[in-house]
Amino acid sequence: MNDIQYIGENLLPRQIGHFSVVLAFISALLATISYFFATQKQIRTDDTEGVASWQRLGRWSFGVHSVAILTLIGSIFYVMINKRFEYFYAHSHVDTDLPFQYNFAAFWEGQEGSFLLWMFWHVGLGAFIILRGMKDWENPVISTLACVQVFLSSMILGLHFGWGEHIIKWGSNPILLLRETMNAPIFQQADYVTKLAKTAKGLNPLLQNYWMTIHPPVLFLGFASTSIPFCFAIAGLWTKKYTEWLRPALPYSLFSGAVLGTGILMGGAWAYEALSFNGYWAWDPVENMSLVPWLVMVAGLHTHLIARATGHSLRATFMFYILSFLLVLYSTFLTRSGILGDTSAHAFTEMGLEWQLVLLQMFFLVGGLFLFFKNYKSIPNPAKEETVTSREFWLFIGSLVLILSVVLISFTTSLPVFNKIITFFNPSAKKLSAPVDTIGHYNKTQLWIGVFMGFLSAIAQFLRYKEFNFENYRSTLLKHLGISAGLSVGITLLLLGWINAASAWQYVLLLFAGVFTLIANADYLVSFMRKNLSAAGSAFSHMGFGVLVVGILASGVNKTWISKNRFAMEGLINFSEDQFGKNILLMKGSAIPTETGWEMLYESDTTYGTRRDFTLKLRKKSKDLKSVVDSFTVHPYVLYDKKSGKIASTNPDTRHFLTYDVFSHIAALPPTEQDPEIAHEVEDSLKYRPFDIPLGTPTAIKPDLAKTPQYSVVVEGINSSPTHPKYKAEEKDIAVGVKLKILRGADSVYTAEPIVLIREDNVFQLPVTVNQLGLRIRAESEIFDRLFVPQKDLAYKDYIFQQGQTLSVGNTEVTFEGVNASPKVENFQLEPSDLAFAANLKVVKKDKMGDSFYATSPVYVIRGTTPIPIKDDVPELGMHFAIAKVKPETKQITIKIAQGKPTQIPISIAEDAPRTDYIVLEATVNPGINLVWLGSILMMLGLSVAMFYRLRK
Amino acid sequence: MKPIHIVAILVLAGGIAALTLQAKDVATYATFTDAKTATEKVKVAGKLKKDKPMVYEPTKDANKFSFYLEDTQGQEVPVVLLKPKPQDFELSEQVVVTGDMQNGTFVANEVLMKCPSKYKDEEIYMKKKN
Repeated sequence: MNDIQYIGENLLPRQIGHFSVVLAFISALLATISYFFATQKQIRTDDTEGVASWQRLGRWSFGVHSVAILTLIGSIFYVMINKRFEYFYAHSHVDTDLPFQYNFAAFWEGQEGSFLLWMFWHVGLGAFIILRGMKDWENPVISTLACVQVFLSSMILGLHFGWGEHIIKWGSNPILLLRETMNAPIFQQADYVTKLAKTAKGLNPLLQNYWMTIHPPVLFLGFASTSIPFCFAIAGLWTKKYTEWLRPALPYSLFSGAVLGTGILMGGAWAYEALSFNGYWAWDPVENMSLVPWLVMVAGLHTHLIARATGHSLRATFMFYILSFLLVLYSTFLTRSGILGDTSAHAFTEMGLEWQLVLLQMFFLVGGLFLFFKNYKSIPNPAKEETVTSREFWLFIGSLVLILSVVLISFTTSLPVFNKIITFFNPSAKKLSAPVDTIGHYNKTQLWIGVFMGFLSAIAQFLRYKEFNFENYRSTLLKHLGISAGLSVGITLLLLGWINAASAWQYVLLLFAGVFTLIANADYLVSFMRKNLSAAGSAFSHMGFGVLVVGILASGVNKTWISKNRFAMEGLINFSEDQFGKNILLMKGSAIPTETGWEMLYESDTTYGTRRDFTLKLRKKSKDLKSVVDSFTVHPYVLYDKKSGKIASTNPDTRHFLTYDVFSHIAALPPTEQDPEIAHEVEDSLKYRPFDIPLGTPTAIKPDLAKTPQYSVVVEGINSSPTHPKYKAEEKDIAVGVKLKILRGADSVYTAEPIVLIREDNVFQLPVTVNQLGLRIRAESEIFDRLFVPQKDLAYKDYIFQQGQTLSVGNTEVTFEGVNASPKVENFQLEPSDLAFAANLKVVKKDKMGDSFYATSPVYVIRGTTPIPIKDDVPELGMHFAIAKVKPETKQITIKIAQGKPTQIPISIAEDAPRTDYIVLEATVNPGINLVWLGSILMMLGLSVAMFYRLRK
Repeated sequence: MKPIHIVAILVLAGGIAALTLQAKDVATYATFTDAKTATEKVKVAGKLKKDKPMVYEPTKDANKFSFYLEDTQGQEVPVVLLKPKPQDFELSEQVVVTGDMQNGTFVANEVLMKCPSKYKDEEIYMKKKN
């Protein structure tokens, strides 16, 4: 294989990319070491000159590292945008017709790309810290950050070592050629590059969505941002300046809380808007593992504030910031090692980097904890304890409760890890399974966390740091809390009219906790904001939390399936309420009332390329079902896979109203519309009967099966530019559509237009189903012989006409009505110098039932001195017409007319064909979703306000 | 004892209680034999029988999809899923169903499929020539 000289490969990006990968790794290592020595010198000596020179080397290395990372990202984008499919990454994630804007989503679809995205943000944050001038903190902080980068860049090194029999893989290089990653016969061909476009995998249709362009960068900035408080905490322990790091680190923690929170929120919004999950949160392991570091970060933020204000909780702050970063690493391990395959709907596929990921975690776990416990005794802790009436006391308790929430979520999410460990020691052990009711499982404990947090964040806000004089403050506190609590009781009672939560007292309690924190913090904002601006952010955040709790309850408890359809349960017994069919069958064109007081109509559908849009009308009826309260259209759609033709994704449509959303999603289509293989099987199993139907004459057909009603068929005409949902016209196609009317009884008329076409010597048939009669009709290829009769088979006779003259031809009468000097000629290219005219002829066939009129226009073209006659025909009568001779001087025209039988159109009809015109719909009303978004946005806004306030200070 | 310790111990106690509550939900995968005697819903992991019929007829019942599953003990049982047929179901090898046994049929309202990796060919890394 090495002997082949390949043609058409662009190897430059590979060379640049490989160089960047190695450079990124080495420069990160160098930056770590340089900054390490700069830090050590800074701690141990007064040698400012020495510190500065190590720092200079560190800065240069970090700069080179940044350039290397950017160059590598640039090289990968270059091969993706230019569709260089000889590269593994381009071949796996893009294809020829991927729209430009999805190149970003395609970049981070792969593990290597998302590692690079993560590193990209580390580089950005590191550069920001260096450029801002953090004095003594730059050395230890960037040394730690660069060390993280060493590990991350090793994930894309792509080195292979031989270890006895085994090949050990160290990292996965994103800029390898396809032929370097796999062995395939295609690589025996020197020009294989030209043949790759067809096999390119492209971006998963589920990810072809603008959310996938914006959600991952924000989430990864969130993940990357947890490193900064971690680096500061490590720097604090390392330099033994245990409290000095608190001030510079605080804006970064607030930033991390805001950005990671926004990233998680956007993930929820993406799932809700673009996926068929019908929800923003499902306690999926991947979701949990992004939430957990955020919760710890928020706990750390609170202890950080305590430590800044009072000196208490300093140890906890160190611990929480280290833990938050470790949990990001753990999350990386869980989602990227393939270990979640059993329990998660959206984990990455495995890449063979499991042990490397374990090593990454272990290094920072052991290193971080070692530093922490080594310094534990030296970390200052005030001798005087916090009083029960102080803010720091309850803030700390709140942080503990957040950590408890983290433990509870992580426990169940880690089940696959427990399984791995158990089977490692006892391979025959039974595997633990995830809870039967996942959502209920998490909700039943997290509900109490929510109640706790609600009460704590309402009350603690009014408490004061270092409270020594509670006696004087007591009345103010009780007044504010009393009024807030009273108001909240009223609002809770009002809300219970909307949120149907009274069935469970736990829900009522949670609702009250949410309202209470909202009202108390609003009160705090109004009463105390002028005195202390820094509190505005915190009040916003906690109000947001309250709104979020109300939204979660409204959307969770009150979600209703309006597509419920319990009439159609077949033969099974013992159904509990949750087992009733949640999806409804809708036949095209017939409105179906549901038991929930709605009416649903599947109106139409349109196919554009691989996308099929559905138009559905939903009508909400009033309580007495007599009038329509609300009526609107929704457009869920499905995407077909370009290669297999199967459905690749079903995408919902969500109508947003102020207090509720209506979610709709195509749960199923007829099997023949889901999968072309099934369609073929069904087609092959149909029993087609051939018929010759004379054009224009209704022909009664006797059904084969008793269930098929009597019907007759009329061929209305032939369409030379036919359309069909599954037919994409190409230039050289010869296609005909047979325009059919199917009559049943006196007034049921259905139309159908089956197509038969010739493309590159192959015949394709596109049958059509008449669903109401269960008929499937196919046009047969003999139609071409019938329509295009060879000239030699026609017996022409000459007829000489004067203008306006009528002659009898067989049992018809033909009138020459006049000349058209600028005729349109089908299938014939007129040149500008051509002389052309058409003879307009009227053909009348006398009949007892009434006369039939037809028009036909044979054309005569004179090119130079050569006459070219172009014939025309009346297929209904089987007559053909051509102009033979023109005598301008006598105004006579000679027309050759051939008579024949009416053209017979060959079609085949199968009975009992499965229906193709229905959908299975899932539709729900989701109340209070807007409160979820509003609450979350308020939380993030509060964190941002606090961050900007701290940055300015 | 300091008040903060008392509250911390209370939080810890609450945590242990909550963890115990959660641990109760964790079980091992059941077999169909277990499912017959179980009083609550169980999860059964098994192999999809591809030679047996998989039937989804939306025009009769849009919320019923039936297939056959063989559990780890080799017992084969018809399964009725009370949902439309999931996309690409026929491609999956291992299937986890959640539900209960009713008259010899396992009635499931959740299903999790494990498909063979689409990207398997990419994971065959070229071995270096000696």
